[in-house]
Amino acid sequence: MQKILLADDERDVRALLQGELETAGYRVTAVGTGAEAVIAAADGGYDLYLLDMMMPGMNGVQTIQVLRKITPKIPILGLTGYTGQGYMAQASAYNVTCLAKPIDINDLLNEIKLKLANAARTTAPAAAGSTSSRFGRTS
Amino acid sequence: MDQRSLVLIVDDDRLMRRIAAAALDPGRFRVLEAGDGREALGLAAMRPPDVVLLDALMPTMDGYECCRRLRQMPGLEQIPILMITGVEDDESIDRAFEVGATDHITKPVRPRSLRNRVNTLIRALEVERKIRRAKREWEATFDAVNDLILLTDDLGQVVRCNRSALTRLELTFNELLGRSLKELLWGEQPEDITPTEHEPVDTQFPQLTGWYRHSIYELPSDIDGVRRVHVLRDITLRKKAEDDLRASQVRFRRLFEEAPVMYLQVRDQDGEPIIEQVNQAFLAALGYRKEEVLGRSLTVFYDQESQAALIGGWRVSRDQAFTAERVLVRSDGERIQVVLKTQPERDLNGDVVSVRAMFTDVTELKQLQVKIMASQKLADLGTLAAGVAHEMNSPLQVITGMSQSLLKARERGTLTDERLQTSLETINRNAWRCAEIARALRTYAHSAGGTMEPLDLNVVIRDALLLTEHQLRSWSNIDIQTALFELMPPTLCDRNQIAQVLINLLTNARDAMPDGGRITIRTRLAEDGGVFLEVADTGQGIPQAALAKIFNPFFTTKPVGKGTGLGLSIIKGIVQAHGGRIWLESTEGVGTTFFLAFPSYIQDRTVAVPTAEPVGRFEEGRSLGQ
Repeated sequence: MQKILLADDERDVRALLQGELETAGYRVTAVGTGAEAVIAAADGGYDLYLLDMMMPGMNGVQTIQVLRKITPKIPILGLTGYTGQGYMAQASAYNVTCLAKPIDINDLLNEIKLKLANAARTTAPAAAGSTSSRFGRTS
Repeated sequence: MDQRSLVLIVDDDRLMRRIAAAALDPGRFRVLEAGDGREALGLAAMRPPDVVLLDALMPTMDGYECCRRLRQMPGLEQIPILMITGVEDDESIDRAFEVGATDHITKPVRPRSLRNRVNTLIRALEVERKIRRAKREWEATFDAVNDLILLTDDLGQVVRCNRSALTRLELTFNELLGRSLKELLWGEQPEDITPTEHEPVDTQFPQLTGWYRHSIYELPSDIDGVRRVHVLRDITLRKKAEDDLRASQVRFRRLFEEAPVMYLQVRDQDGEPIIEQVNQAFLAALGYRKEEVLGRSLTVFYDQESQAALIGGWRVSRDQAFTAERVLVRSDGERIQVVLKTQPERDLNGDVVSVRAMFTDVTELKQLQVKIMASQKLADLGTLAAGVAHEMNSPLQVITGMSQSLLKARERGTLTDERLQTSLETINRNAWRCAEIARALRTYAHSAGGTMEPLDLNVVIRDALLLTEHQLRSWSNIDIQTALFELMPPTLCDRNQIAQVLINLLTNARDAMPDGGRITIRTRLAEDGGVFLEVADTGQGIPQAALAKIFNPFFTTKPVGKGTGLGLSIIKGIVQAHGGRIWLESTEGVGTTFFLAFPSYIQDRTVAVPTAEPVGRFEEGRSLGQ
């Protein structure tokens, strides 16, 4: 079962997305801040990060910067309520696709499926699994 | 100094000299004696005598020869010389006068008559000296006068003149003497205007440069051939000053007429300001003709409110400079908002003769102020919109996602009552949050404003936070703490404007903390019932130099292109319009706190603005603690 790390500071959004992703068959770890996301990612074992771009403390872009350093190959999807101020451009610089809130849940699930498939294709010949991290396998 | 007259007695007879000396009053005369003519000349050369008593017949040099020689000595030409002749014969008397004697006396000389004779001569000498001195003084005065003075005879020929005349005409006295005044002044050209004795004439002469006032004094009868005294006074400078004055009067008149400000001159008449003068700008602005304005009371051109104000204002402005806002009514009934400035015009005694009034049209300025406030709000709204979009999109995500999820579950037949219950609750809560944000935004954006209502300041604060808190927290890493006093009395305020004040202060606080920080909003009650609002940040603080200017329009410490600089000046304007005050306290590197004080509103009555305030804080940039 593929594992997704979800970070959003809004409780209701977090609960909604966690529920939908689990229904769709993923294992989900949900956190409320960028810092928590980084800590969870360091433990490893995730196939995809789904991040809200605007969170208190470390914002989305800052979180992405750290995640890219410690786990460069894990695909990341961004979510943002605001499409201006170059957040999308900043995110795409790290090869992160940013999706605008509100998004249709089916569209979100399709995007996740697509990202995971792409990641599997590019990493399959090199690595045995898609859940490796530089901190080693944990599961 | 010895005031006595010096008498030189010349006689070869020693006894005769003694008798003569004894005859003279020693209180009035000093005596020198000489035994013959030669000795007399030597003494006279050393000490010039005032009177000489001279014996006609003496050995070696007789009295006649001595007298002749004395007369040739400088200073002795005029002194009395009394010749003492031996016998009374016509020949010797004639001879005495021929050589210059003043008088003669015949031997034998009686002392009394000698004394009388000498006294008379001395008196005559003194009188003559006085006359001569007076003449010299008069001539010196005559020459010292700057005016040209020329004396003419019956034929108009110059008989005498002073030094100024010679200097100005560039002639010597000899060249001038006997020439006609007309020729001297006018040359070949015909005489222009001749002054009469009573009326001097200001004129120019072809032979002189500059302007002169020409006066003539007729003498009643010929005195030494003089019939008329001409006095020419140089008035070139005065004439020039007059011309300059006239030219500047014309210039100022034109300036007054053509100046782009509305200008009036009024005078008090039975307590009414009557218009004496008016310029084009005033007429053009009000659409009246000059004759419709002159002589009428200024009150005619005021609206009712200004008329009422004028009654009090006129009493003040009659006597001192005065500034007020007034409303003028055009001929077509349109109103013009003006700022009036008056200045009393005083005569030399300091009495006010008229009042100058200047009006500046501020109608556009007032409209502009309103527009600026609106555009400032739009600018705020622009920065808000970004945050608001995010505020709205998160709950919308919950609503759409959750409802979609419910639909799916129902299709699959897996929808439980419990799940429906919690999901609908979540949807409901988030939908209301959207509605609340939309309401707050609408309330703020609603441009009309202007309605003052009693409001709980805390409610306005919570609204403002609803729009900005998430943005500040998520984007700028700013923690917002509130300490709101819950039992606040209402404040009479324009919800919009107070929200604008708060959002501005919050935005400023955010910009002061680029690396995040904390904003504390506090409300509290003042002892006298007023309401305090504090907005404190933990930002970089405001430099001391900027504090004084912080409430000035267009003053900004933000980089070019960021911030219009209108924020705090508008905030101050709004706070003051609410009867409140604003001041701040700032420490560089520690943070800034803005203090706002508003009167509270209790049962249709406004309580005074709280007066208590901490020492060392700044109000409108002015240090109160230093």
